[in-house]
Formats: sequence, structure tokens, C-alpha cells
Amino acid sequence: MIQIDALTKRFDEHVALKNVSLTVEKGSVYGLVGPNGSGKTTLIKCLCGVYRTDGGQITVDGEAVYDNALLKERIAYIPDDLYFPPTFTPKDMAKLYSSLYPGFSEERYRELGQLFQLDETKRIARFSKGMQKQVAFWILMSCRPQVIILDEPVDGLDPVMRKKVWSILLREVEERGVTVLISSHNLRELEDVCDHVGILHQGEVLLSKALSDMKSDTFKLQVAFDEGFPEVLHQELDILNHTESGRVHMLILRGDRQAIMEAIAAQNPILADLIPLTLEEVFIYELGGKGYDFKNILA
Amino acid sequence: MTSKTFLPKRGLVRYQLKSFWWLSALYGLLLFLFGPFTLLNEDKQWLLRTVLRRPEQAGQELYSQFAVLMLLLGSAVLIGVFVFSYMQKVRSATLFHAMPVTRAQLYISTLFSGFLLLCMPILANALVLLLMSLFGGYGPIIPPIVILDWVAGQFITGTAVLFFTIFIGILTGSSVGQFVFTFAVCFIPIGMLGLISFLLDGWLFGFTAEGIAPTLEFALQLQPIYFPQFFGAASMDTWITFLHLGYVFIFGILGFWLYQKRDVERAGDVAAFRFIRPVFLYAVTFAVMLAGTGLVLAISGHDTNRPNAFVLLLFALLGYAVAKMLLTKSFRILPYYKGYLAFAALVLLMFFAVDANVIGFGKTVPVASEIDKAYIGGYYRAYWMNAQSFGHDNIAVFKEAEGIDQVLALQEEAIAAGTAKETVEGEHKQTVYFSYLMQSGRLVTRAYKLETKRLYELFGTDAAKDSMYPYFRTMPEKIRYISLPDVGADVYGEKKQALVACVQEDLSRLSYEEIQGYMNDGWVAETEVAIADKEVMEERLAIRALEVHVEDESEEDGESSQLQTVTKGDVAYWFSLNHNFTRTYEWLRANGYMRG
Repeated sequence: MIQIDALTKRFDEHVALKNVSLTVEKGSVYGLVGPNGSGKTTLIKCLCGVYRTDGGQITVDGEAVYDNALLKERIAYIPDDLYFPPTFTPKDMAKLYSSLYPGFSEERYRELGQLFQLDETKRIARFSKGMQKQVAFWILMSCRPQVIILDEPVDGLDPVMRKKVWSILLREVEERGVTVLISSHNLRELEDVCDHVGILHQGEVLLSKALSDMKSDTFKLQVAFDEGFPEVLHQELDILNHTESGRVHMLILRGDRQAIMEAIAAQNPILADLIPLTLEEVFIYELGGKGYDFKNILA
Repeated sequence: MTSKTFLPKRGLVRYQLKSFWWLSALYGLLLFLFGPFTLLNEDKQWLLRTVLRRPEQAGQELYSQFAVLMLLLGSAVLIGVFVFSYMQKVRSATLFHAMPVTRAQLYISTLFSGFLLLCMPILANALVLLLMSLFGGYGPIIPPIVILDWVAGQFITGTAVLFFTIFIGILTGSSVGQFVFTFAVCFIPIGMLGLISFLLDGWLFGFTAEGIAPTLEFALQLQPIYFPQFFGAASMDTWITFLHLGYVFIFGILGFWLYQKRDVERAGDVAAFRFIRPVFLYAVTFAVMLAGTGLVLAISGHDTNRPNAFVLLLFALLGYAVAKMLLTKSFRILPYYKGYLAFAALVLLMFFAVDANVIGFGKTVPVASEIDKAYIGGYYRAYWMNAQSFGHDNIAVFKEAEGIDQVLALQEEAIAAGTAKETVEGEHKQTVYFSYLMQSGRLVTRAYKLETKRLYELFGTDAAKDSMYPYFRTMPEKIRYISLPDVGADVYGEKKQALVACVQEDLSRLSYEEIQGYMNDGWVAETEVAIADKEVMEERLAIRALEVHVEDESEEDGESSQLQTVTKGDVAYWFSLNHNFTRTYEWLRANGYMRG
């Protein structure tokens, strides 16, 4: 289990993370989302022991991460911005990682090699960005980690390779109970693989909950009334967003589903349709409430 | 597991060796070319003969090779920069710090890898040398023990430079910065101290001392990057080798401690620690200020050693701006103006304090009773204090109170004249050095611009003549004989006494300019006078100078100069004559020493 308590990280005068707390349960897939500059990569680097924290604590299975080589033998991290030694081939990287990760499996290395179909004797620097990402995945999955931390894991991969990567990842979770934390802007894909989601905004956790719970208390409602929108509903309901198109009103609401329907029904609507939100919509409307939105992009 | 924390990680070492083997190979090849290969191409028989004649020369071919030393220095620094380069870029630093290794392991693996890369070429070449020594007939030239000694020295010094370079790399987040600062930290502070001394000396004292001050020279020897062979020494002093060995431990351990505190996110920054930033900022500001001001003074052509306050502040601004841009990685440095203003205020305060001579340093006139000897002249050489005679050299040393008082009076006059705003037309001034050897042993020296006429007036006094021509004036009994090199004659006994008396008469009568042979209206060459008067010309061609041999207790040959020669048991002073020495020439003619 990954436990982050009151984590603070500063870069000179800039506070990148302010009192961040979240929990990632063992065997779960946690999606970390947030706008650009919200602190996702900083949080991940603190989690992997790359950055020293300025406050709070990060533990994995009860052990502090920073400068803990034994613990890191169970953690694999694939950054967004990859680096490989200029002269190294996948074979060289495998050799390096096999010497550092006791859990490195030659068998798994060969198995994944068959899957990715990359020349292990070719310099990684000569691969495309997507292929380099595949190499990173190939090598680190061969290490058989217990915790996998991925920053934009499928960025640059073609659709087929994306499916392969997600498939490998989920298989690891299922077979070995691996804990995964993914940071990505591709919310549609995250929605398919994550069971927990955390939204980071300006260095703070906006919310962190199970995906099912997130979707279960925020709704999109399409409603129409004979004589205009009843103002009383603004007081009775937690409306995050309200748009009109003729007599049809589109509402984004948070609250209990039954209570919402009862309140609407009491106003005798012509039309009342409750639709679950996608993760993308939850993201947009939650952050819109915090002043991070795009008003009238399309005039 | 704890015991393994301080061992290098095999995978990391392999990564370093695989990445930078080419640098090590290049070093090995160049070392071979400048080491064993050069030796093979020298005349072996000549080397053997040299070594047989002077056995202490064995191994000198190895120790003193300048190129070999430069290679060691350059390679150690480059290897240090390359093996630590992973820490100077965010991406690579992230990769390695995310790996299951502790910081201690990372650091120790880096050091160990660097050591291997540096030492393998040395060992390879040592093997070649050993083969040459044992089987190639080079045994006497490079005995095995000398080769081992050389290897040990290379290892120690090379490792010291390597560890120092890596230590510097921890302090900065840039590989370029690491390379530059490795040298800068060693030499720029000493250079700045020297430059400060140079500028202040010129400003306060009117002149700058020759050469590098002993303290600075010693400080230079303490630098990790210092090879006495660069300054002409035959080999490394033993104490320096031990010092380098100490540096291996000092920088190794200090680097270890500092590495634990280094933040990964500082990769790419000029200063990797907060405390370094103001040091870097103001060190660069100060260095640029000094260097720029010194340059302007050197090329300005103005007859002054006083720096210009505006120039100081301008170069300080330049240095501050550049340093700030490097630190902030931005051209927008205007918001940081306060730091410059504070520095400028301090510089101005110090400038005016020195200029106003707040502590009276520049215009100090010593107390006469505390002076042992007073020197005055157009040259500054401390050793003139102990010379016996000066002849026609624009210098004099006064030991008696009267002479010392005259020198002090002239210094006060020079100080007063120095503050005058107007220059008198036709006035000719020259730099004059006033140097006092105090009773306490301390030497106080100042330089001023003084009218040449006033200097010659002092030189024309009896006290000055006693100082400049002591054997004629005060110690004639010490003159053993006088040679006339132009006619190949020596004058002894009574004739010598008569000749001395004539010279004494001329010296008493003549002014300093006349003794020197100058005309009253300026600098007129002696030969021009001679050409105008045939009789004078005949005199000049006949006997141009006297060689005065005096009693001396010299046990061996000493240093010869234009004015004297020293051979064992004999000192001879050169005394030039000119047409003004009428009494002397009269005697020489009357006694048949003149030609024609």
C-alpha cells in the first residue's frame, strides 16, 4: 500500500505540493489526474524517492521510500520524459537492471521481447519516441516489481500498442496483485483501467476516491419545463453547471440521485433524463468549480 | 546489508565503463605516445651515458615530461566531468535516483568508476615501461623502482584531481560549470588576491612589487591542481604528493557528505546549493570588477595607478548582470537591482576610504630615528640595500642621519607635489622609489613622481656621493689597485693613491649630472660632446673607465653585473669617466697612460 501523508515539496519559493495526502490500496490501479503544472510529476518523483520532500511522509508497505534501496527493488518507475544512456541497447539496459533488481526475470524479458518485437541490439537512441517507451515498459516489467508508477505510459504509442500495454499492466495486477499508479491526461483510457482516481490542482488534492463513487454522486441531467427553469431548484440542488438550449436545460449536479430526481419531479418537468458523467466530464466540472475552466472557447 | 552500502554497484560501474571507455582509451594512447613512445625515440645511448654519469637523473624522463603531466590533469578533470554527468541533467538524474540504489552507492560507484578509467591507462603504460626496463635495455634509464614510484605518483595526484573535480560537480548542476569551476576555484581566488595587491600597491604605494608574493605562492602550491613541474621544478616535492593523498580523502569524504544533501532537481543550475548562490554571484561580480579595472588601467596610458570609481562600478555591474543571468537562467534581472546597489555602495565606501587615505597608509613618512637605511632611486630592488657601491645608476643608499633626513624631506616634497593640480611647463618628472629599511627589519617602500632635477640635486650632495662612490669617498684604503682596461695597465701603490686623489677632487667639484656626463640643458650623449672637441674625443677613446679592485672576503665567484664583477677573493667596480673629469685625465696624460 502506498501512503502519502501531508506531503509538501518546494522549489525555492514555489510550493509545488501542499499538504498532499492520499492512499493507494494494494492491488489497485490509481489514476492521478490534474491540469498542467498541478504537481503530478513532482508527486510521482517524490513517491519514487527521486525528490527529497520538504514535509510529510511517503511510505510503501509501511517503509519510507527515500534512499531506501531495498524498497525500491520492488518499485518500477517509467517517467514521461525518458532517458537512456546514449550508447545503450535494450540488451544493455536489461543487463543494468538485472544487476540492480533481484526480481528481474530473463524469461519474462524474452516473453515481452516477443511481444514488442524490438531489436535488442540496436541503440535505443535510434528508436522512435514510441519505441523508446516500449523499451522502458519491456525492461521494467521484466523486473517483476510490486509497485508500478507510470507517468503518461501510453503517450506516443499507437492504438494497438496502447492496448497491449494496458493488457500487460492489468494482467500484472490480476496475477500478482501489483499496485499501479498512473498519471495521464488521457482520461478516457484511464476510466477503463483505474478503480481509484485522484485529482490534483495547484499542488493540492481536489478529490481522491473510487471511480465508482465519483460517478455515483455527480450527474448530468437533461431537463425541460413548460414555464422556464424554476429558480427554487438553484437553492435545493448543488448545481455545478447550467447551460440552456432553447427550453432544454443541461445541468451538472452533485448529490444523491434519488433526492435529485424527487426535487426535479416536484417541479413537473416535461423532460428529465439523468446521465452518468464520464471521468473527463467529472474532471472538467470539478476543476471548473476551482476556477480552472475554459469559458466560451467556441464562440 | 549495511556493510554493502559502501561498496560500488557492479551494474553502475559497468554502465560508466561502457559509456566512457573511449575517454580512458584515448588517455592511454596519448600517454603512450608522450611516454614510452617518446622515450623509445630518444637516443638510448645518450640517455644511458647521462644516467651513468649522473645516476640521480634516472627516471627524470618520466617525472619531468610536461605533456604527461598535462595529460594527467586534463584526463582526470574530463573523466570527473563525464562520470558525474548523469547528475547534471534532470532526466538522467531521475533515472539513476529512481533505481534501487542508495545515494551512497551511487556516489561510491561514480568515484570507483572514475578511478578505474583514470588508472587503467597508467597501469597499461607502466607495464610497457616495465617491459622496456626489464627486457629492452632501459633498466638504468627507468629502473623498475622508479616506474613504481611514477605510477604511485600518477595515481595519487590523478585521483586527487579526479575527486576534486567530482566534488566541484556536486556544488554545481552543470557539466560545463563543473569543468570551468574546477580550475577557477583553484586559481581565480589567488589571482584575485594578486590583482588586489597589484592594484592597491600601485594606488597606495605608487608602484607594484615584482613577482608573486610568498604567501600567494605558497597558497598556489596548496591547490589540488598544482604541479611544480609547470613552474620549472624537476619533480613533485614529496610533501605535495602527501598533500594530494590527503586531498583524495578530504574530497572523497566531503563529496560523500555533500552528495547526500544535493537535490536532484538542481541539475542544470549553476549553483546546486542555496549557499553557493551568493558566493558565486558576488565572486563573479568582484572578479570581473577587478579584472576589468586592471585592464583599463593597463591600457589607458594615463600616468596614474589610481583606479576610476566609475570604471569599478561599471565592471561590477557587468559581472553582477552576467552572474545573475546564469543563476536565474533568464535575461530578466532588473528586479534584482538591490543586490548590485548594496555591492556598489560597499565598493564606493572602500574606494573613498582608500582614496582619502583614511588609515594614512599611502602617504606615510617614517620616523627618522626608526630608520636603519634609506634608499632612493629610479629602480626598485630590495637587494640594493646591501650593495657596497652603485656608481652611475641613479640610486643611492643613506646610512647616516644627514642623508636619511634629506631623503625624508624629499619624500614629503614628493607627497606635496603629488597633490598639485597644475603641471609646470618644461618640468621633467620620473618615478622615484623611496625605500626604508627600518630598525625592526621591516621594509617600507613607496614610489612617487618626482622632478628629475630635485633627485639630481640630492645625488649631488656629499652624503649621496659618499653613498654612491664609497671607495673613493670614504674608504680609499680598501682600494687594492685600479685597472685601466682600455690600455691594459694596472695602477698600484703611490700612483694609485695619486689617481684616487684626482678622482676624489673631480667628484667633489662636479655636480651629479656632470659626474654622469649630462649637459646642463638636458640629455646630451657623451659621444656628441666628444665629436665636437677633438681633444676630448681623443681622451674618450683613450680611457673610458677605471676598474677599481677592492678588498673582499669572497670565497667563491659571485654574480657579475654591469657595475661589478666578483671572482674569488676579488671585487672589481666599474667606474665610467667622461670629459668632466678633467683632473683625472690630466693625471692620466701626465703619467703616460693616455694613447696618442
